[in-house]
Amino acid sequence: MQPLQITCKLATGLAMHHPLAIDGLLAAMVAARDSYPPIALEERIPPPEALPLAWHPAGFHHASQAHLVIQAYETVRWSRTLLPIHRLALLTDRGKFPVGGRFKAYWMPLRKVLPAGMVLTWWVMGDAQGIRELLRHTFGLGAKHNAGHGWVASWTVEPWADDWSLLRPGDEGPEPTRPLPMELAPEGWQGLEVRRLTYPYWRRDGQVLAAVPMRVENK
Amino acid sequence: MSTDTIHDAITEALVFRPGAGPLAECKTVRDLITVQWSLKITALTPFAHSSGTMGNDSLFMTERVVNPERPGDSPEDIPCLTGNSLRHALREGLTWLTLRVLGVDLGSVSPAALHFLLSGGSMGKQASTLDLEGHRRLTAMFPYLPLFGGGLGTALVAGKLQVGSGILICRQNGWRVDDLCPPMVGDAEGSLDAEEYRERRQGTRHDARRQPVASLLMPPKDSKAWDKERLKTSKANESEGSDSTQMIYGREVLVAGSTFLWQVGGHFMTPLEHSALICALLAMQQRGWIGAASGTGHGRIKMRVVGASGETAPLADALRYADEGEGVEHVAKRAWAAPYVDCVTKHGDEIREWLSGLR
Repeated sequence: MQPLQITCKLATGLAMHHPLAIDGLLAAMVAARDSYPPIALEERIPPPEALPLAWHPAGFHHASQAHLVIQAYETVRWSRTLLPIHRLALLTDRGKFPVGGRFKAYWMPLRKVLPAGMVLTWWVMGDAQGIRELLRHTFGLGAKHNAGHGWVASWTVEPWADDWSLLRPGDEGPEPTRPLPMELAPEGWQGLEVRRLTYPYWRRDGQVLAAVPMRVENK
Repeated sequence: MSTDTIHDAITEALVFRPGAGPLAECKTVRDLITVQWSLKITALTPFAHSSGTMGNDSLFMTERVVNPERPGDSPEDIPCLTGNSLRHALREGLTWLTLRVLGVDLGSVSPAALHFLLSGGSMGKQASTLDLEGHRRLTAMFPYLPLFGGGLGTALVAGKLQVGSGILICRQNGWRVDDLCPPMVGDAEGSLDAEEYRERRQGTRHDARRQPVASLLMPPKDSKAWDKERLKTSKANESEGSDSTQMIYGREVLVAGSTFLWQVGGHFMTPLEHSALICALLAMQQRGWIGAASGTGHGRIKMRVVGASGETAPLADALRYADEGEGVEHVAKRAWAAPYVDCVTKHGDEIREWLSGLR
């Protein structure tokens, strides 16, 4: 295990509803590789030791969330259109066909960010070869990544001089690079949110008050 | 060796693309396959792919792009084909091929099954239609499901298919095309500005009453029916403030000859799912149309493989097969299609039963 910097160059804007945590991403790849059933059907997640990352005694991996500087935003329309009636008429013998409720066609706004340089950066303490082997199978990031949003152009995993997986030097002292429990937070840190400390980050259980990185925008 | 050369060599070893690399031709443990193909989509007729309207004009779909090589430049809205629409083209292609292989009786498919097959399904109120054991059994016999995923009752199941958006090969996208597809380095940089590919086409809706044929179809002018019709029309015109239904409308299209780089693939696919994906691409090429207004000649396409992180031969053969115009009924004879077609044929009864059970 060594300090590493992971860089992702994107080809398209990113629909990012949550901060992108690299340990969550690697866990998803482990689950896909080992053919875990969909999480919606069975609550089974990869154990911490299955990831090529160092584990912190406080209950999370030495892995930062994505660092990015937001250069621009874009809101696109995500659609599901009505099924064509001439085809429905061919395949179903019903006199009427439901077009409301869960079958309704819709337009839904999808907010995207364009990071400066189209680059995302993470810092971890981990095994470079193991990380590379998992990232090779990651084509996209964020919401709707399997339909071209947050599409990955290339990955870079390189040794980094210092361990920035938890904290990194800032203008006014150390700043967190991932959600940290209050006992590990830099003194006087203002950015506090209720968050989980390990994957799956979207779950509500296990959330604690945590020191989180500041959002950076240049617009 | 100079320091710069050593640095370049190290950098080259550190940077890698999804799907690429020395992973034994991307075959991982237990014969799971990760592959990413780069295809070039060429418009044989103008593309219509609208994102909205302005007055009577429909506007072509765009995506916002910043150029990392020119950090001071403002973002630009560049025409694109959305991954959502291309994913749907793949889904629909494989659906029709599957229904033909299954020999589904016309009129026998439930609304929920149709929504699942053509739109990815939806979340329902009732309990999940799949238990875990059922899901395992189904994914093994119907590779369509793990490939595309979808909404199944109360469960949203992710698919292994990864579909990129269609990136217009134009000057502004030079950096993206170079990064994504090494065989095409320089192609976009030397091409035209994105605006050069846009074209506005005007259409006209005629007022049917002013057509010569109308005089034959409408009541004689001296009849009572004619007076009644005139009275009705003039009242309608008063309220609408116009005496004609004629109008012009505009449609923004991309000119014929426009080309797109499109990446598609999947991760950790079984050989069956890999075969299903090639069948989907075959069906999409056989259909040969994407986007809107295909009924008026828009969106005829040709696809070619230009690069890949895995094996290209099966897909290239599938696209050639589609060009040759052989029917779907012969597709099972091809090595790349046989696993999927044989599997669906073998488990036809169970798949039909599962589809009919979707509510």
